[in-house]
Amino acid sequence: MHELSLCEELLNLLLSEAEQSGARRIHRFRLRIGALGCVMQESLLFHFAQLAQGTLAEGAEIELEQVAGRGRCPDCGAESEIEHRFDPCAHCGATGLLLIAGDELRIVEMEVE
Amino acid sequence: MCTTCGCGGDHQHPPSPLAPARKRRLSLEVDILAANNRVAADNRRHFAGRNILTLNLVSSPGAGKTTLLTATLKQLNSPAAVIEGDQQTALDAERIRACGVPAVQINTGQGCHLDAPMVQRALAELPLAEGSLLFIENVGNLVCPAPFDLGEAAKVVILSVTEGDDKPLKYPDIFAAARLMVIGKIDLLPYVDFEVARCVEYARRCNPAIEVVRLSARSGEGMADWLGWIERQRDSLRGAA
Repeated sequence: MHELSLCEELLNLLLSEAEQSGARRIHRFRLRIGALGCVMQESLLFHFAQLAQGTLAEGAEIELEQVAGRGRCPDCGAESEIEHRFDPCAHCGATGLLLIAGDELRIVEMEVE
Repeated sequence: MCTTCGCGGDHQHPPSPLAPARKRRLSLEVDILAANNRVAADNRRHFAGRNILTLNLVSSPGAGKTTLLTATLKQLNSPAAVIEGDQQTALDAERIRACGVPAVQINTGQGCHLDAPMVQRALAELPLAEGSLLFIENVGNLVCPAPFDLGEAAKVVILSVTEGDDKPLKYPDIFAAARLMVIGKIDLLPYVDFEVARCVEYARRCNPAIEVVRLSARSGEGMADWLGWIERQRDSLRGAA
């Protein structure tokens, strides 16, 4: 449900950047979304399409750059790819990994005209 | 000579709306929550300048946030204030004011969490003495408040024993974002299948650094631990100032 608020923030950022650069239309933009980033992608895309209607971003193509979760083990120091925040270290099995990637929620770039 | 109109002057024409526009790529690299985070930083500066400790309380609906707050406010010996977030009604703010503590109610309508601008607007209505404690009671929801920074010193997640000890694994983001987990309603432990040790172990899988306090606002058990934790946060705030 908070995807709607995230979409409002996203659209505001895109529109303000586009207006500042004198663009007439946003064609495409790229998001970097971590797999553990508190966001449901389908819901984000759905809300964005609705919210963008009637704005410079209407119909814009969204490219999603997915970032897998990665954690560093507090015991052995090794890094593992993780699917959940609570997954154990793939090397020694310890829990409580420190998240080092996978919670991104960023706008990378956009293409305007 | 001007190549657009051939007029001989040295001037520029705006691009014609009919001319094919050039596509340009703009590099942004900003967090989607950048606007919220800027206001959260303003709120944090506002608190730091007045030596105010702000705690953002998050939980499921009915976990006992308001009951814990009213019990806490009765035992605190320092000035305090409360920002109450709910979708509807001012019932919680009225419960707080009945304790003699100023409270502002934010109704989010359809919104499922508080954000930093809502808190900033509430601050304009809330008298906050220097050195106050400010509690922000978020909308009851274990999901949506997690990514929104309000400018607080710490998020405190409250989990009551009637909800089940597996909640940290089911809703890991909020436990990862919290500094303290309060396990509440422990007076009901004899009547429910809730294993405190298992719950703590699950929470630490999501957040190895999370601190834990067990309490019952109703019986008073553990309240001293909670008040002690708050006092330690105030000390570290003073130490940082």
